[in-house]
Amino acid sequence: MLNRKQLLRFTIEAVLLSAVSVIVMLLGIFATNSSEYARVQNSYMANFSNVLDADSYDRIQSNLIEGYSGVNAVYEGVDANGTPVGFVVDVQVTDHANGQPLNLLVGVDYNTAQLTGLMRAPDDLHLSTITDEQIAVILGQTYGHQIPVAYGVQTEDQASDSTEQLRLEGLNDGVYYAQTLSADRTGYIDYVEMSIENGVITMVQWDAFNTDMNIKNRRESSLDGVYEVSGLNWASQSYILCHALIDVQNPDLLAMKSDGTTDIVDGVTVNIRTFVNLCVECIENSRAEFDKEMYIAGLQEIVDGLFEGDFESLGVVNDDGFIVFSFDGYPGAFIGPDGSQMNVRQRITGDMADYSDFDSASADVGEELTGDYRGNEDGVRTGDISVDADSIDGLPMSEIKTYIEGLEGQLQVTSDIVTAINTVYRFLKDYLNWMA
Amino acid sequence: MNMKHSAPFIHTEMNDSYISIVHLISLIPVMAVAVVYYGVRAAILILFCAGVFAASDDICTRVRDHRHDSYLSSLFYGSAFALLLPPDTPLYIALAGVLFGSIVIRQLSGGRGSALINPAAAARLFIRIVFPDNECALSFPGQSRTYIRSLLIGSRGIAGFDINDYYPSELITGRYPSFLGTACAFMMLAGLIYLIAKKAYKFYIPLSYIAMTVMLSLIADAYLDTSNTKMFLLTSGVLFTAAYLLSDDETVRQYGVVSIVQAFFCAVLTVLVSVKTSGIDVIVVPVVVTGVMTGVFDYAERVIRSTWEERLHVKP
Repeated sequence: MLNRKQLLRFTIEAVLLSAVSVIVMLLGIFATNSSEYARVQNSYMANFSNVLDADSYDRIQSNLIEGYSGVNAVYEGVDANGTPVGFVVDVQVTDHANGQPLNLLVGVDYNTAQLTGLMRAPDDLHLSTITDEQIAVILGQTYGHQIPVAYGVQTEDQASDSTEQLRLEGLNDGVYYAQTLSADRTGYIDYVEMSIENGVITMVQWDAFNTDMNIKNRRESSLDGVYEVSGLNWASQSYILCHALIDVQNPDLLAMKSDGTTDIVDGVTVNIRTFVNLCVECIENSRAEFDKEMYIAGLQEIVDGLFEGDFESLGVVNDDGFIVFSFDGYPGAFIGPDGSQMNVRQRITGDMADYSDFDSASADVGEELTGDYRGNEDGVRTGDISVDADSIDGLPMSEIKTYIEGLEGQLQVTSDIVTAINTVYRFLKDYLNWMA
Repeated sequence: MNMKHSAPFIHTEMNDSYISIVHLISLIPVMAVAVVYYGVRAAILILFCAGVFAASDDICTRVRDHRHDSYLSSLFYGSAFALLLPPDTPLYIALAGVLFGSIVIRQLSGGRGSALINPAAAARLFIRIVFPDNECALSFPGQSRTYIRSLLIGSRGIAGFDINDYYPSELITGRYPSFLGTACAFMMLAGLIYLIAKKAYKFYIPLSYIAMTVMLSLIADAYLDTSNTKMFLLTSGVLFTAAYLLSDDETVRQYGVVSIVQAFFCAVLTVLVSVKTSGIDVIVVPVVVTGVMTGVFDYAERVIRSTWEERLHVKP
C-alpha cells in the first residue's frame, strides 16, 4: 500500500502532468490549425470541386445527419466572402440490380436549388453495377435544373416551358442590387441582390447589414440567435422567400397582404414589404440596365455629394463592399425637382421613365402552372395547389421541379440515381428548412 | 557458488502499488490527447473501461479467493485498452473487450500477476477479430467533441481520409484520425519518460524495441518500399507499444538479458506484421505473441545459464 506521503506526491504529479499535457495539446492545436485547415480544404477541393464550385467547404456537424437514412455527410460550400453557395451531400443508395450500396456526391446550389454536380463518391467501394457513364448521363439531364427530380413523366422541354411562361418581360442579364435608404429601428439596412440569366431570375439574396459595423449581418445574427423573429429563424425565412420568388419570377405573385405578410409561402411569417419593394427596384434596374456596380458607385457619389467629396474619411464601406449609410438625416437627398421621391438609379441617371410593367410573357400563367406560389395583391390566390396522388421517393409529384427522360431502357438504374438526388432534397428540406 | 538474491524484508518504495500507480499516471498525457481531441465520448470510454475492468477483477478475486485485491493495475489495463479503441466505439463493444481481458485472459489464468498475455492487448485483439467493422469507427480529431451518440450506435466511419495528406506537424501532435491514445508521438514519449524517471521501467527495454524497429523498418523500406519509416514511427502506434505494453511487469520480463531479447523479438514481429497489414494489428499482435513466448524465453534463459554454470564448474 502507498503511504500518505506517496499518495500526496502522486496526486501532485498527476495534476501537474494533466495540466502540462492539456496545455501542450492546446498549443499543438493552435500551432497546427493552419496546416489542418489547408489540408482539409485541399482534400475537399479535390473531392468536391467537380460537384460544387466554391472557395471553401465546411462539414456540417449535426446529430440529425447521423440519424438520417441515406445521408452520410453534408458539406456547405462558401465563396470568398463566406457567403453560402451550396451544399455537397454524400448520399448512399441501394443499387437494386445487386443490392449493393452506391455512394454518390450530389451538389446543390444554395440560392437556386439547382443541381450543380453528381458523381461517384471517392470512398465508394465500386460494389454497385451502376457505371460512371450512367451517372454522367443522369447528370447531363439534371445539371442546372432544380431538384427534386422525376423521370419518364414529363419531358425536360415541357418542364422548362414553365419557366418560360413565368418570365418577366424586358429583363436584362446581370447582377442587380438595391438597398433601403434608411435604417430600420434596429439599425439594419436591408438589401436585395438579384442575378438574371437569359431573362430569368436565377438568384435572389435578401439580407441586411447594420449601421453599427460591429454587429453581424441579420442572417448571421439570426443564426446565432441574436436576432429573433416569430416562427422560423430570419435566415431560413429569407431563404425560403428568395426561393419562392425564383419560382414565381414576379414579386406580385408572392401575394403580399396589406399588412406586409403573405399566406402562400409556407414558413414565412415576417413582413415582406421591404423585400418586395427592393425586388421591384432590382427588376426596374434590370430593365434600365443599371447593374450592381453602377448602383454602388451611384450611392457612393450621392454620399460623396452630401459631404462635399469627403467620402473616404466617412468609413462607411463595410468589409463586403456595401455602403453602410442611412439617409435619415437627409430627407431631401432623394427628392426630385418636381418634388417626387426618387431611388438611387433615378437620382443618378435622371431617368424617370416607368419600368414597372410586370406583365408576364404569358398571360395565362396561373392556368398552366402547377406551383406552390400563385397569388395576387393582398393574398388573393388565383388557383389551388395541385398535389397529385402519385409520388416519387416519398415526394408528391406536385413538388417535383424537373422531369428527365432517364437512361433508355434502364428504368431501375435511373430510379436508383434519381433516388439519391431526391434524398438530398428531402434532407435539405427537412433539416435546413429548405424549400426548393 | 550459489547466487544470492535480495532479501524480501528490505524496505523499498518500489512495491506493487507504486509501480501500478506510476503506470496509471504515465497514461495521463495520452488520455489528455484523447479527451482534447475527441471530447466527452473519449472520457466516457476511458472511465467506463477502467471502471468495468476494475470491478470485474474485484468481483472475480472475491469470488475465487475470498479476498480484496489492489485495483490499480486493473485500472491501468482498462484505461490502456480504451486508449487502443477507435474513438467512435460503442460501449457494448468496449464492454465485451473489457470482460474478455479481465475474465478470460487475467482471471482464468490465475488472477493478478499470472496472465501470460497483456490483458489490454489481448482484449483489443479480441475486439479486432469479433467486431471487425468497428475498426473503421474513426473520427476526425477536434470535431464533435460533445457528440456522444456513437457510444450507443457506433459510427459509419469517415470518408476521404489519407494519412499521406497530413503535415508532419499534425502527425507529431496526433491530429489525424487514429485510435484514442496511439496518435500523439509526443505525448507517448512523455509517458515513457515519466515511467523511466520514476524507475518503473528500464530504459533499455523501450530503447531496444524502438532501435530494432527503426532498423528493420529502414531495411523493409529499402527492399520492399512498404512505407516511410518516419511516417511509420509516428502513425503506427509502435510508441504506444514501447511505452505502455512492453512496460507491463505482469506479462513481460522487466530486467536482464531476456527483457532485451523479448523487446527485439517484439520489434521483429512489429515490422513483419506492418509489412503485411496495418492498424491495430501492428500494435497488439506482436505484444500478444511475445507474451505467449515468455515461457520459451524463460526456459531458454535457464538452459543457457545452467550450461554456462556447468562449464564454469568444469573449467578449473
